[in-house]
Amino acid sequence: MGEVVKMKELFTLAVILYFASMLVALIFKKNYKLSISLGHAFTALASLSLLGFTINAIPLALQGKAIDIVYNIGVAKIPFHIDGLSLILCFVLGALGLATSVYSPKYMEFYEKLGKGWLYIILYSTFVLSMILIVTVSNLFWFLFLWEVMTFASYVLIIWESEEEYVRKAGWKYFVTMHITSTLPLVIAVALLYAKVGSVDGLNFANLASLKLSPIFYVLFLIGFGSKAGVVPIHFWLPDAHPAAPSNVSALMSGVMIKVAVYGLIRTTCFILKPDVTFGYIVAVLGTITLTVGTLYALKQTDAKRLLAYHSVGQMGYIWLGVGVGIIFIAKGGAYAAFGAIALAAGLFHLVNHALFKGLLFLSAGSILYRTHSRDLNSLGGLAKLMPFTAIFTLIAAMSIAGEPPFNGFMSKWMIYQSTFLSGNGLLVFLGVMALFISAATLASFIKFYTTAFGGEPTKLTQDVKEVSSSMLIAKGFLASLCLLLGLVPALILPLLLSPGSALTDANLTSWITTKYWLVMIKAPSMPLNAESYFNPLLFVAVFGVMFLGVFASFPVNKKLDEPWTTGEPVKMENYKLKAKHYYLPFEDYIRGLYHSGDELSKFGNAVKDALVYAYLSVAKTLHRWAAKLSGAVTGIGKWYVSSVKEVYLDETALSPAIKAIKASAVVIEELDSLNMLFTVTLIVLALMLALMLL
Amino acid sequence: MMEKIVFALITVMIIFLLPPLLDGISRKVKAKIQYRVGASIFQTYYDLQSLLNMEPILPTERLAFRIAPYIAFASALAAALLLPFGSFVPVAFTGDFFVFLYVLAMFSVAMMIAGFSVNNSYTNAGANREMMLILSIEPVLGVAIGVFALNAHSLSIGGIPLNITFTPSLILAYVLLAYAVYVEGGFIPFDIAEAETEILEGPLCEYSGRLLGMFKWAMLIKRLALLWLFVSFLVLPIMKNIIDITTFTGGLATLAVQLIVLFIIYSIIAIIEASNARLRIDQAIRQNTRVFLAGLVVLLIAALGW
Repeated sequence: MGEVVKMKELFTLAVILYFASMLVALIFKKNYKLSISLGHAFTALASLSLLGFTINAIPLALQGKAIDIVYNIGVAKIPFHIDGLSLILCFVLGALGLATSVYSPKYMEFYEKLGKGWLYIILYSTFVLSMILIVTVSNLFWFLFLWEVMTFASYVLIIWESEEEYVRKAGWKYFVTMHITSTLPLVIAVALLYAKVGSVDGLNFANLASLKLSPIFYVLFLIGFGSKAGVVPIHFWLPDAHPAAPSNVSALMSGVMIKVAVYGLIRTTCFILKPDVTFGYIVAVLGTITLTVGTLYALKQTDAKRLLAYHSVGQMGYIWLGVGVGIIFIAKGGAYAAFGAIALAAGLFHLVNHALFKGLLFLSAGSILYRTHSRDLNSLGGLAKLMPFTAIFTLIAAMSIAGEPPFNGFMSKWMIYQSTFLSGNGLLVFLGVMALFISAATLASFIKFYTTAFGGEPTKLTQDVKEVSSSMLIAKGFLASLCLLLGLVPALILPLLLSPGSALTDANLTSWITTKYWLVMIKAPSMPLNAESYFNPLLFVAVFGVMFLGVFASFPVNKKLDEPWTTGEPVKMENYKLKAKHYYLPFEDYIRGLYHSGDELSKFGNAVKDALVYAYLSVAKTLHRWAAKLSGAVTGIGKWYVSSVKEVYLDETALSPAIKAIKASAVVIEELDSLNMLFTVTLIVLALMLALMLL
Repeated sequence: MMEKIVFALITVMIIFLLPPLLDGISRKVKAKIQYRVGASIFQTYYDLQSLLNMEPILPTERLAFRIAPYIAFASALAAALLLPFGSFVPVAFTGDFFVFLYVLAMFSVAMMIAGFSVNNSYTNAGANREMMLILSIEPVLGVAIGVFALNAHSLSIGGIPLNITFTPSLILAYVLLAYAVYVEGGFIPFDIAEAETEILEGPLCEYSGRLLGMFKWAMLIKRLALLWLFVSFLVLPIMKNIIDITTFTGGLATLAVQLIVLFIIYSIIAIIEASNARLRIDQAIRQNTRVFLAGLVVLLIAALGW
């Protein structure tokens, strides 16, 4: 019991430290560097304490128990329920939060001319803290509230360089798309549920799970979380939005924010609603479409961060595929229940891994940007010579995402292959074949990413570049070593990843999956004896290492250098290398039909979005008028909301209500309270409207 | 114990020393078809020996370029060590088909990273083609594995051949596997990446001496690994009905049959190589896609249980 109390304190400490970081940043708001360094010192401590909490809490989660915490903030009590699924996300938030906290102070010097370091820290902390609370809170109302906070904080972070037009456009696209395709369906879902239970307390997850709910909720949650996760066809905002933000924030957005949407999907459709076979198929098929479209589009990108963002879409597809197959078989139950739990764990494993390697890749792209002021792969080159550590870390991340053993990306992809190919189901095998194919496309894309930026000889742009500072390297090294560690010893995290699946099924997983430090072995139903799938990464590395060193020692070479051979043509060296835009042209030309239909789909999606924007704006305005009449509690935030809907550009005055909200706790409560009222009014109005419609 | 040592020795001989001989035989067969005398069947050994004795000259300081041949060599070896020789698996760090594929793919990854890391349009072009070839053949391989997995309920290289039941879709899966192995092996007409007469051996263009020797040897071992996989899939299901392959004599007999079939297949490949010209990369992509689409039909048939 005492231990549980200590764990709760660690969690609370993390929350308090995030608030403290905002306070510190405000105190030193005059000094850009100081406010950011001190603020990030606090966020680093907060991440450490979150990691400490996670590690301490894992044994409890493995026993199937959860940690319950209630925060009383005066106007309301916010309940938290932290189980295995929450802890997986807590781990990701802790690890990536730590890496970005160490990385950012130096990196943000890049943006010093924009000033407002204190505001950046406040937004950063709000963003990360909101995600931590989203994945732990156990009331749907607060979940939605925090969801909005997350969307808002990430929006302002995206438009940090708001003097650039493309940044403003990307931010606006993100904000509007999120409100229509993510917030709106979730608000409708919450409103419908609210109408059913009649109180905010009734929106507790445990209470909702006991209700009999209609299938409409699957649809609402699918759209709401799918759009946030960047699942095709609502992925078009992501490749614009993620690269527009500063790289440390891009790392968090691609690394964690879209994963929070996966958390939401699993939490609502598996734990509140019941796992459903048809729904599982939809998730798996959407995942496969997403991984195909996202990655094939990534293949032709030549902007470093945009390429990474498209891969976030693609890798999200892998996660959905794993989760979808998991839902199918968990819902089927019987002999396949354990197989489903393993598939779900495979999807969650890829979630964790993607957070690590994509975070690392964005930090690397940030390092390149920081030193060269460019993210154009066509003009970069030869950085391996000038930034050797960044090169090694990037290569590790690239090999991880491409799924090469012994890195973590391979382990999770391997588990996804197992759960599709061994399913005994032709459709799922086909989805697995697509996953295998796209894995090669991912490899192609990251070979391009690595060899154009780091390979070859330095170009005019890069010749004077130096390695980045040690703090940035430490942050990347930390993530790179995690990529390697989870690939070599997946058993460190697999039991935790299996816990949500085992909570959803009664099956005894130990007879289906063996996770020892040196071995992962998977059995499937109707699998013959001695035909199990197993992999021993440590032994592989040992064998590979011995052979590599053996030949390396037997056939050593001297470093005798000469110019590359040009067959006698007088070619300048810088013109003698393929540029990023020339990679894989025949293949891209071959699949241009796919690109064309993808573009048409995006156009269609945009048109639907624009139509919805119009409808949304009118509804929002009407609602706002209603709310004003009803309660007169329209505050600055309400005004801001409507005015910002018209304005693309957000200046400081427009932001002031939000800043004020955080400035002092008294204001916080006041603002939250009025926001609550506005929110509640909106919910009730929506609920009434929909109830009328349904009747 | 003694038996294991015997198998281990034979296996090491097969993996290290057989590939150059197979290449020599293949060259001889091609020479005969083209009415040439041709070099001795040991010529590839002599080639490798002279290359491995020469100091290379490097076109770049990039570490990736320098260590790529060693990585390629180690990955081809590691993949070969996973395969069943009789019933003996040299180092079973996995039994899984996908791990085998991905370990073997590290050969290509090393070759492509090295090829792209030099300022040389020929090596770049070669690496570029290698990647596109992998992209186009990966789905075919996936379908073949998918049909085997549906049929045998296993993904284990040792487990699949012992647990398959013969159906029409399975026989077609063998065809797909043979095709994929042939393309991945880079045999003519799919020697597009290392097109010797066209782009100066592509990714290997800037390699010389010892490093080139390593790469060539690794390439031959990779081909052996791919073909041995296919041969095992052919031989094991038949041999298990004739003899108990887990015994010493049974294992040896199976290994002997595997070797014979390997020689036959290598000779057939030589004949195909001698009578074909290299495809352009776009032609290869198109052809592989057609095979993939046909493969989807096979997958459908397999899903229906035939």
